[in-house]
Amino acid sequence: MNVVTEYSSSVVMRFMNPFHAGTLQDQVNVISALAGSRASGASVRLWLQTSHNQVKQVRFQAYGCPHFIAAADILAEWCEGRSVAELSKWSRQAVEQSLEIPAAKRGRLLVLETALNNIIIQLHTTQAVAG
Amino acid sequence: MNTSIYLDYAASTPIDPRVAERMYECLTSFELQGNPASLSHRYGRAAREVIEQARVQVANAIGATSASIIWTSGATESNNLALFGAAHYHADRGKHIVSARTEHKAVLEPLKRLEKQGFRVTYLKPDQFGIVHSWQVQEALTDTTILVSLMHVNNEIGVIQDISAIGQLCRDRNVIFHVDAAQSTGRLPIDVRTMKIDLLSTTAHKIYGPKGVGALYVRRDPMLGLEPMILGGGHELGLRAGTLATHQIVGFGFAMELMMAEREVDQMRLMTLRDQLWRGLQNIGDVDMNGHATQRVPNILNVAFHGVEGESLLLALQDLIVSAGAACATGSDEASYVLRALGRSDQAAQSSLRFSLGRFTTANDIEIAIDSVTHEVSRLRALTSGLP
Repeated sequence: MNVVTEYSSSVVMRFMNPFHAGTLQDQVNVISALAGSRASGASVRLWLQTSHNQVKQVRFQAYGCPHFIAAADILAEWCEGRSVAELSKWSRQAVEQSLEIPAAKRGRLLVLETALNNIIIQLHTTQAVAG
Repeated sequence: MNTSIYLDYAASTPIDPRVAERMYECLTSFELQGNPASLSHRYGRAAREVIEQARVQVANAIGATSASIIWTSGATESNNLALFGAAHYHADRGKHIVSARTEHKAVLEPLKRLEKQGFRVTYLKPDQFGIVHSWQVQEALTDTTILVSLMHVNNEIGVIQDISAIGQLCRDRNVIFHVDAAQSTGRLPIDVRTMKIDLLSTTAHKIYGPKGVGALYVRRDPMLGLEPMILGGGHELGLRAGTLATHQIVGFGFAMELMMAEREVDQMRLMTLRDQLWRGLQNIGDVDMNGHATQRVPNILNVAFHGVEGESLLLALQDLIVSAGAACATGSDEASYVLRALGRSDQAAQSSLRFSLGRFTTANDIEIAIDSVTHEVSRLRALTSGLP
């Protein structure tokens, strides 16, 4: 069985070559957030580096199906270069559409949304403390 | 150019060119185009003759007489005919059936239907290696048990059940014994008489023959009663009506003859290749073999790659044609029911792959497969490193 036909070309491309896969463990001004679990089929850690309220770099680690890994890569790409204030505008539905994610898999994108929300909360907390 | 490596022989074997040639000869010989049931003219008789020759070829592989072989469309139909046929015909003796959780769906689904029809089914749980022990069968038998149905070789993990011991047990208790031998016919020695098998299902497309043709062995001495499912012109001793597909049957018979003639060499070669594969995969680390270490066929290797999501692994290995423990193609997260019956966690079951080797697999194929799996498992593990 050739499973490639079960996935959109965008999913295959991003899954096979996730440009933003990795960590920012040793970098400065980095925060990270975890969401999901292997037991539930999807788990992600987002690493986000900021500089002057701008997102400089994003990396991710992920356990999950190809759709999930491709969506994590898109999320990371989307975040880079945006202002911290813009991060809350990320649209899970837009990613579902662009990757043609089947209905049965869409719930997993909530895990990405949760990770991003955790990042946003941490960024606001950091700003509040700094202010 | 097709650069894929086919390691899914347990799902279906490519047709052997020698078999295809024999089928082509059959399809292009005008004299063989008669209806094999039309014995009043020579075209019909000629077709009948090659069909009877194939019946002998298949019967020889299981130690049966040719008169006990019924042609079907494949192992699924054979299983359906065996289960419904035996259960309905012998229902007056009792309504209890014994089988196992790890049977093929072509057995489990008919059993579910029989349960709806008032039969009671006991599904035995195999041990952690996939073995169903004869003592388990013995304990499950009751005064109302009419049928035991167990597979000879499991299609996912390749374990071999002790059919002889269970057959003797059933014969002693006057219980009908059905064996789904789709994965074992032509590969393992089978003698329906000494193994006390009453019904045996087999198929052509697992032995390099064509898809769409199979057979059911039905004990003739003494005669085992079966209720037919397909009614019509009384073909196949009234057990399976329908005009026989001459070229398919000829292909099936010849494929079986080749299997028997080349079995020992084939099996030794496959065992060497499988061991080469297992050694290579073990070097990846954190892998487990699913099934029994020794009580198994040489052509199937089922491996759990811990820490890797099964569906992702399957897509990453897109040039390697293998089967997954996860039913991912439909988007379902359901892990293999066979592996779960062995006590594997959903995660371990989902991260398992079945490699099944065959006649056209080469040592070079195995090396490429090892390299490919090593690379992709490492890549996916790096992606998940440290995640809960």
